[in-house]
Amino acid sequence: MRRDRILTALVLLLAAIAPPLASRWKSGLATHVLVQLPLLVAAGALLGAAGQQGPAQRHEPTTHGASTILLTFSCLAFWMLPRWIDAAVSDQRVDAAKIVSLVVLAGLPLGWGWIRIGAVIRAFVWANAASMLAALGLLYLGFPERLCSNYLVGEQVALGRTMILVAVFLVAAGLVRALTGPRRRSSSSSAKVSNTQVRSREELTSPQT
Amino acid sequence: VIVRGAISFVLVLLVGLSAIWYGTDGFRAFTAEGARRLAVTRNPPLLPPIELQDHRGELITLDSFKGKVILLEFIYTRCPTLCVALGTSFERLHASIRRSELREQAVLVSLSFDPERDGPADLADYASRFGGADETWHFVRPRSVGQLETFLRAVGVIVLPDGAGGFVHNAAIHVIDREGRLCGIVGTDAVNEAIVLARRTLRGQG
Repeated sequence: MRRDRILTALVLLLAAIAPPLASRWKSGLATHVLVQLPLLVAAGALLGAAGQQGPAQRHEPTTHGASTILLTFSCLAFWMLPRWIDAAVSDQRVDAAKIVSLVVLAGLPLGWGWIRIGAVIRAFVWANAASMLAALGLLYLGFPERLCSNYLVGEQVALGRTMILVAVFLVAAGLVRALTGPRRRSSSSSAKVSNTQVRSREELTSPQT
Repeated sequence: VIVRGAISFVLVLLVGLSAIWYGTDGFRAFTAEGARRLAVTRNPPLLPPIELQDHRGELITLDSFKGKVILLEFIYTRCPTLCVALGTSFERLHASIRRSELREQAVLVSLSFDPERDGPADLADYASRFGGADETWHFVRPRSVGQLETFLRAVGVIVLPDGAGGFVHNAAIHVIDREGRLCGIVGTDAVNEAIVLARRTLRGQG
């Protein structure tokens, strides 16, 4: 499990930054923001989650969970500013900083935090991600001027559309999840899983001090 | 546990906000264009030399306007949209400079970033669309692509092919002071602002 995560993370990282692919992603605004940035965050998140398996390793559940997710959001927000999207295209040093910080400051804390936060915060984060994406998408769609000096207006519109699509997908996936309840895992580990589920429910309901 | 969680949350919030504060010059420049305009007002960069050829075929340099304030725009003569709007702004600038005391102290320069296609004849033709060139308004093209690229980078203008044979670029009115420093960038329709900036620059440099 752990080795799988690390391997997958490396594959995702390679898909994000291998020179021909990286320039392919960055040649379009939509792929830059909605393919390369998520690949980097996902790679970091898998690494962040790689060390954590059983409940035994869960230290201080939910204490810093929300903070880690906030760190992810802040880092992503920074690299989604039109100014820094542009800078990452124009300046290789900025691009390197983007890659490192998205893996380390956005991905790692997301992976580390996501398995520690309870269902309520997870749902909150999910809903927030969807609404922020939709709002950003509308903003990009309707903005009268070119926001990035390195991209054409058409790419701005494409980014806006795709963001709204992704937001719709997030909402749909969230709804399905909410209606069907927690996914059942394979029977071999069901005992362990139900154990953790009970535990995390207790964590949610009991006041933390 | 909740207190520690809250403390770390607030700390992360502060760090995140400061990063975005720093990254937008205090929430003032969210785009590269905004950042470029803000940066030159703080620390006007000295522009690299550029050798030019005007619509009559005569060879000049940007330095030959030293001692005057230069209002600079970037164009390509086949441009159907943006440059026409910018050209109209320059037409208005031209008229108001000719009418005022700025006549002796300011010049307008329309610089083509497509020197391969824009020869002197194209520039002259383009000039005639806006009332023609005179001692105040100069239509020029760079003599070397290398110098053009260095110059564009120094000014912060990015030219992209638009996929239909034309170009897209971050168009603006660039104000260059008497010593050749880029000291102000305003929007394509900010004619009055450009005049005010030119006057202020002249006053500041005696």
